[in-house]
Amino acid sequence: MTPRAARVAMWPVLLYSVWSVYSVAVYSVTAYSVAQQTFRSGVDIVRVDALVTDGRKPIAGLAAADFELRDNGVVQTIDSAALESLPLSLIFVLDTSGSVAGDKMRHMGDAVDLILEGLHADDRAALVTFSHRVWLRTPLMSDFGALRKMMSSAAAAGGTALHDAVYASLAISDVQDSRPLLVVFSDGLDNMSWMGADVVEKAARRANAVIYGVAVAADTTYRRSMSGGPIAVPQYTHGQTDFLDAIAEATGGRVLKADSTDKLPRAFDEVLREFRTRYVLTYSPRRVDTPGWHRIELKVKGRGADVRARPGYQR
Amino acid sequence: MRRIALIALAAACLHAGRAEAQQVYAGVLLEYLTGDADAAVAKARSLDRDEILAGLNAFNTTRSRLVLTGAAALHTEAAFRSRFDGVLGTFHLQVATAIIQFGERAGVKTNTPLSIRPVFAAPVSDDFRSLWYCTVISILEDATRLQQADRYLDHALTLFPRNSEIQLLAGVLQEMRGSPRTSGLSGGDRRSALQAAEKHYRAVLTTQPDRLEARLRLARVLQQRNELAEARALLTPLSSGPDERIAYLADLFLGGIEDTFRHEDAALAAYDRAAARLPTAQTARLAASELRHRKGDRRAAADAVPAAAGDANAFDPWWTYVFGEYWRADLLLDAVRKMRRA
Repeated sequence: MTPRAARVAMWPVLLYSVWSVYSVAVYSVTAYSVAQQTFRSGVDIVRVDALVTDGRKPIAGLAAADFELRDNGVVQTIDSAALESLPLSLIFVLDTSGSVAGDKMRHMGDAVDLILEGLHADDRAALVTFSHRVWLRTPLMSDFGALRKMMSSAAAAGGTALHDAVYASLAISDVQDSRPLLVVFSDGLDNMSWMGADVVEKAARRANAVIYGVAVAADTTYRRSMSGGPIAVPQYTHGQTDFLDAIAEATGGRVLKADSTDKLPRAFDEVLREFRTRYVLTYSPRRVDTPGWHRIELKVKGRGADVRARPGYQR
Repeated sequence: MRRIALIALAAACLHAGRAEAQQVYAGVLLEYLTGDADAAVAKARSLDRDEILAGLNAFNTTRSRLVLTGAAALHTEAAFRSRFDGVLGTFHLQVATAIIQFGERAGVKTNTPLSIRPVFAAPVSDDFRSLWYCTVISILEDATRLQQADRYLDHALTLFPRNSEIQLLAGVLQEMRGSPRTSGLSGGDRRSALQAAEKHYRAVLTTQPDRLEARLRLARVLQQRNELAEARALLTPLSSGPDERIAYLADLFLGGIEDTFRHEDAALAAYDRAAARLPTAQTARLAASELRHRKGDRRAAADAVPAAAGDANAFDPWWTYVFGEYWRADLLLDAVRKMRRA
């Protein structure tokens, strides 16, 4: 094989590699004319979406030099650390199984309205609902009115294909020049999906999106306070948030417990506000060329900040 | 001649009690046997309990030998036509059960607090009884009333141990127990349920090797029990069969098996075959998309989603697989009605 032929043969590998590490360079590389058949090593740029807090509130004003990032244990040079450098691609993944009929559906609609009001003109949103079926009601688009209309026409019935719905949403979240965010709401356990939780968790690790889960308690019990009055204690069924916890962890997101559905709008609003405070860090991996899973360790130098980011990426 | 005999049956019923309630009941039964059956079923649903119990008592003294089959059919339809709606439906089912279980051999615990002790009326035939059990169990399974269905299955399996349709329903019930969709059993109990389902499906295929539903379900149970080679051997011929639902599910399950073997190309081919077979179904398309995503073809994975999940008229046999041949419930009720004069 000639060197030129070898380069040609490597082209699909390069595309896959670059695409799968969510490189911002992927777009310039794929825009390259294939006829050029040029390969330059070191063009991969890994993007890491990170939430930094003092334990309660986000910490603002950090620069690239404030972070220490290791890729498979090797310290990397961070090229940039910015807030909101790209528009948002928000995908609602909402449970419309029979158990959310009535007030829950209404509260969910209110929550969607509220989060849409917080989006910017260049942001995009999509609506995926799931019962026994997964339904892509609107693709990613800027016409939020159409999304609201589809949401208001959704009816609650059937089982819960949560895993399949999250996978479908991850698949469509790989879009150029934006930060994909999945907001997943479910009030129960999956009982209808073809895909297992482990399969979808692995897809979440491969994908680009950050996932925020919102769970609602299945029931509320009461206990007596010191003063004798009742205190509501939300009850989550055994294992209810396990899947949401796993996919949020895999993508550097988190799960918010809304306790009751009337608190859904506040929870959705909190997701968007928090996501807006996340840093987007980029770096070109050096001395870590091996394909496969790359573990990422990220911390803020010299202070006890909490950092939440995806634990790695597939190369 | 038949009509005269039926009128005589109803008259005998009337004669037995002479009470007004019995007359009302006998009128409904007569209409069911000789007139507008749909109207009679609606009237039966509007009878009060005393009228029904009065009618039931009349069976103990009537000299009509053949009245019980029609009465059982009437109450079965009253319980299950339109929908199975709680208290009223349950009472009609109890009445039908009392009639059916009269004359069954001793040793099987009854399913109903009601009972009849006719002096002259004959028990229903075995043919009707086995059809009736199949009907009731099918409907209860479709309504995911698994405990109730199980009690009827106990009777049916004791009375008709070689009846392949009852064995199939017993397998479906165990499979439902083994599925997180329809039961909250622990992992261990789930495995036991799948093992029991396997036993029933094998019994079906022993007596009826061409019962494709049993073949498909045995394969699925074996797949879940990690007996993949036998599952694949059972599914392969089904995937090219004429029944679209069975062929689709066979290819979907084959895709899962090949994927477990890490035969990604074979898995993809199976999912693609299933998707081509039923274009409105989404599960096979999503499964193929996930496999492509895993293989790194993320553009193709994303492109498949709108076709899989964007169709408002989508229907997928996977959604209803766990409920067995649910569509047969109404057909079985029709068959019960056809035999009402037997």
